[in-house]
Amino acid sequence: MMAPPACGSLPAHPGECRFAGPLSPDSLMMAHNILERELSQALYTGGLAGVVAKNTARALNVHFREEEQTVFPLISLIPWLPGGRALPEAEDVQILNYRLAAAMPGLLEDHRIVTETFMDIAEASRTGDGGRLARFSDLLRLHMRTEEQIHFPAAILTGETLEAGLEGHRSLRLYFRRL
Amino acid sequence: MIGARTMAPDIAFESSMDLAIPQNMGIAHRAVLYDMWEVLGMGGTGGKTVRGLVERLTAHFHREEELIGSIFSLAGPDAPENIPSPEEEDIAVITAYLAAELRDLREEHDEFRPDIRALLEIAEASYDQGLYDLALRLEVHLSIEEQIHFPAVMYIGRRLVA
Repeated sequence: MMAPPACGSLPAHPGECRFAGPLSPDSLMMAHNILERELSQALYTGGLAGVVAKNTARALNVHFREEEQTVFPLISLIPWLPGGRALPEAEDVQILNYRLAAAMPGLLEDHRIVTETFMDIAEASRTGDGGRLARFSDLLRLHMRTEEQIHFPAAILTGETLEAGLEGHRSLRLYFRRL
Repeated sequence: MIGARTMAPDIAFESSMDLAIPQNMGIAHRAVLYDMWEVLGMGGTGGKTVRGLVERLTAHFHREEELIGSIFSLAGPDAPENIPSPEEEDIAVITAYLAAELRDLREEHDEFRPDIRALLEIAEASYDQGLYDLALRLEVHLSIEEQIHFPAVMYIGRRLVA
């Protein structure tokens, strides 16, 4: 009998995969997967709150995929920062930086819209089945705040540092001004 | 099982972006602890494991917030304009201190992992999705710190004193 797969990308349910110790660099993907699973459970909430949540869930799904394609690749290069491994090709990093810069305003706007929508839904349904939505709303805001304050700046810093061999403070200052 | 609930009011968010990075880190830590407190009354090996973890994690999180939070805050929007440049010999001391502290924190993570694995196994055996989710979220939290926060802190620390 084959052993269950390692918990690399989506260890969603007990028995679905085996725990393989420290996670691979997929930890951020897993954080998204966990949130999406929490949301899928919360979507059983009925009424208007459930309908609005389902519509917003689609937007959130698109948003997560966008982050995974623009922010995560640069974050995965953190070990290449000076003092780490040999630098990757500057042109490759340049493309990633360009994509991130193009996506960043939209990502921040998504955060604002999605968190506000879920806060409104959660506020309206803090009791009964809606409690799950409220819990999801809290987890989502915590996740997005951490991205805005740590992961996005880390991606910008890493990208600029690797591209130019400079401490990437120019875009970092602009980013924080935008916040 | 961890049922539907919300976080305690004292860690609730305001809609404005008024939190500094160290505070956000503290909120993330308290969110993990709140989830664990929910199952503190659990019996058997699982309950004992959770209670032991909560006690050790509380001290560990506090240490992380002091070290990592303070470094992140120096790189964030509220950083002081002029951070005094340390003397040449101090640079080596500061970076060595940071490296040693982060190594210690990483070793503490590894000490937590057997307990997290135990919780996952207990959850699997008892089909307890809530406990499974809790253990998984804790593992993901530790991994994100190791893969992103610790290296970023080390890099920012080096840049600040260089």
